[in-house]
Amino acid sequence: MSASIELDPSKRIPLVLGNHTFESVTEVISKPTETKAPKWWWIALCGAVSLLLLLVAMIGYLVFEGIGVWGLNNPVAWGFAIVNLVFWVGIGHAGTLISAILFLFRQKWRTSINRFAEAMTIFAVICALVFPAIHVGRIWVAYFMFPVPNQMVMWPNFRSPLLWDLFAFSTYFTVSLLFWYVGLVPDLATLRDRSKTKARKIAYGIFALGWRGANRHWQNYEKAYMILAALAAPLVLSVHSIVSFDFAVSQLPGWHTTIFPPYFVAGAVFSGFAMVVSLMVIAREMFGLKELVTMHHLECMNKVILVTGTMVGYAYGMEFFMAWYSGYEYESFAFINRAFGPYAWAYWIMISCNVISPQLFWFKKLRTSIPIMFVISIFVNIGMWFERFVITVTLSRDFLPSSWGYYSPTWVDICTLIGSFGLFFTLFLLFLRFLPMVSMAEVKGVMPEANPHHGEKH
Amino acid sequence: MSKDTSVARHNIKLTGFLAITLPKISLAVGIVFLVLGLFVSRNNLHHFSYSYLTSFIFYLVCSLGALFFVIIQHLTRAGWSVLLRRVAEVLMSNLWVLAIMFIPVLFALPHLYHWTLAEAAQDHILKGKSGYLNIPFFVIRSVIFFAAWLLISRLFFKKSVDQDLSGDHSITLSLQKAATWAVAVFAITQTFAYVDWVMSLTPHWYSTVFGVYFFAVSAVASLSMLSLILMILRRFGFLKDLVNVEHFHDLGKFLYGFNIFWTYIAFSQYFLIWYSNIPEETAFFHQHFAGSWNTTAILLTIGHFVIPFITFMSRHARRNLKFHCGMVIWMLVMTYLDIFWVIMPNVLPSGFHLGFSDIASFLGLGGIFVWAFFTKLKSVNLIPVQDPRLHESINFHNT
Repeated sequence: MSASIELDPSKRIPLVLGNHTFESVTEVISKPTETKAPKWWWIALCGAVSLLLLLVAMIGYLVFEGIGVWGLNNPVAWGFAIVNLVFWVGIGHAGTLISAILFLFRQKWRTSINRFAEAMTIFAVICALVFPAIHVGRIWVAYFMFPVPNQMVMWPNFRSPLLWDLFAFSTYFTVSLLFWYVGLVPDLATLRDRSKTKARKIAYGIFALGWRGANRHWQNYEKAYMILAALAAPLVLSVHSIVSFDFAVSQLPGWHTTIFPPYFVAGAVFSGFAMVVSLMVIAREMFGLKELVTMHHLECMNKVILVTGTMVGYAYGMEFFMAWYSGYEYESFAFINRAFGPYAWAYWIMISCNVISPQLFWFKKLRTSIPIMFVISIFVNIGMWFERFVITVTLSRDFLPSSWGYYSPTWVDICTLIGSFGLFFTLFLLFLRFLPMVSMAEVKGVMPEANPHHGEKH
Repeated sequence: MSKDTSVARHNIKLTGFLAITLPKISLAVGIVFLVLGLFVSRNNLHHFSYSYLTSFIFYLVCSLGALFFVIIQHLTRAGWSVLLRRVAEVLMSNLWVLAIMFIPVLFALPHLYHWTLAEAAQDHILKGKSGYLNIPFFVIRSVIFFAAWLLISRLFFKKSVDQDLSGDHSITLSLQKAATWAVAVFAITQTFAYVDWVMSLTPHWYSTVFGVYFFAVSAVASLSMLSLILMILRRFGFLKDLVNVEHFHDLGKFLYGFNIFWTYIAFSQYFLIWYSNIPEETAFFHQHFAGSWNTTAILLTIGHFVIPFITFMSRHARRNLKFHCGMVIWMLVMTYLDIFWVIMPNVLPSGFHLGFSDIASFLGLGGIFVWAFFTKLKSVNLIPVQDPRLHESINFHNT
């Protein structure tokens, strides 16, 4: 089918395949929430929860024992905590881009994947927030980050980008959650109306906010959705820009460079889309969603990965060029040190995963191959984690050669990172089980049946 | 099919004043002002080179932005913009004029770029950069940039015009393919072009985001220019029933978005340099905040960002064509001011001053630019009449 349609530019590729009707779409999407959970789900949940417990244990140990259990040292004062923070926040960016920017750009293919990606945004931000919270050391005074009045006549330092992070993240989290929830309301009402038990009806009923699908409801809904999209669009840029400020406002070679804000944003979208592809490839297989999340959707996502990956490559290149062009010897040294110093292995993992591997998506054959896109998306996730690792730990050779050393994470660092995946996947598996993972209302809107003139003869 | 025949009934060939009289007048204006400017500034060619470069960069960003617009429409298989694409294609085709306009810049190298002077050899930092900043390599790079742009713009222009006759759908497919590598080539060439031609005016200074900054400038300028040209065409009775308020609304959104992007990049660049306070980098802003340049920068913040951000936010403002027209002219003025602010402090260290050489360069190059634009536009249809997605653009509505 698709070959002939793709060769006719006057037609658009259908976004829902098969002989789906509105009813069958509702069936397919509601099914995972209404039938007994499959065995693999239970197994996966057990795995995820055990990792989550690992995270909790590690945090408990950290709070009890102190930050010394991590591998931090003097030039590398941030270590894994910031690497994981930036990594997780980045993962969330696909959701915001899909829900806000692609909505404003009228990219209709977003409808099959936006719910999924937005859920990831929220869970990823939760994972991210764990790290700065536990890195403060004395976690019981973390409330000090808020400008609360106190008897010590002290105010938070508003000139610290870490404080801006607090505001950026909380705004981002709030808007993303609202966006996700507003989109969910009509679907929750569908689940409520389909529920066969009283408890289920009440549970979904509360969150459906009395949605009846009336004309007036839809009108308000569309308006709210548009406004939230407009609010969320700058957030796509702002959050990761402010994360990049954490590094870039410093005077450190390799950290202080003006391209950081847009470069971090591109990288975040890049890693976020990679995560969506990794998980979507599995989910559409497991839940029989192949006709809703088609190869066309996956291909579009892979194209976004190619574009953003190349942007990241551009930023690496510009950094390197300017490090030389600046004639600033410390800057040049920082980059030579990255590429050929003690962390060269991490640097080249980053380059090969982030810049080279997505280039395979230039070929249609490769970007429409499920195994290849899965492998590349995993590579991208690894590469993007290493990008932040490289940025953070190459500080181990700073201005003062006497303090030069080698940063190595401890077992606590590594277990905390692994544990954060437990938190993410626990939340994600619960989402798959209890909420519609594809937006029913929006997918129906892009089906031919939604056209008021559908079925009319000309 | 019925749509395609109805397009033929519309006025899709440029005739009358815009096709015949305007090009003649503007060519005359262009030549007169260039000669006049050169004559008046004959004792101060140093200053004139900077004025010339400012105007050159202004028209360059318009055409390069249009090149990006055309590529991106193909890359994203956009439907709404098909009616607007031909005007953008002609705008990008003006790159050949810009290539010719660049030749005088090569003769003014010692005036503009002090790294070309003999004393640069004594400068420790410039000596380190001489592997990149040397005249032969600079010229080679400039030739490569223009060659790449001319190649891309000719390809996209020619194939699109060919489709007007043949209606061959495979042309659309091949341009969609070409758009992929074209956008990559565009990104790299335009970055280094601005690094070479603008950033190296202050050769000690560097900023990794500079290429992105000028990309944002060019997007804003070209979208404003595109909107303005379409309004002028409509004013003279062309495309009146085809390009309607829906298209302007979308162009307005695009412009609004890119203007915020410009602000974002400009702010990031300034803010990171301000915060870190490293003398190597702050030197640039020191120079650009001297005297009344400081006022200029504040005016830019207000005029380029605050005013459009507030007034152009509303759907009603974007759909009010009179207001829209005023806004795009305003944005073009702001773009000029922005480029002026980046380039001119190098020759006017004490403060803002708009002299005759600036006006003469602007009108001189502008006259030739306008002449080339309308001469080309007259030779083709005003819209891609056989584009397979034309019906989408004609029936386009904002929801």
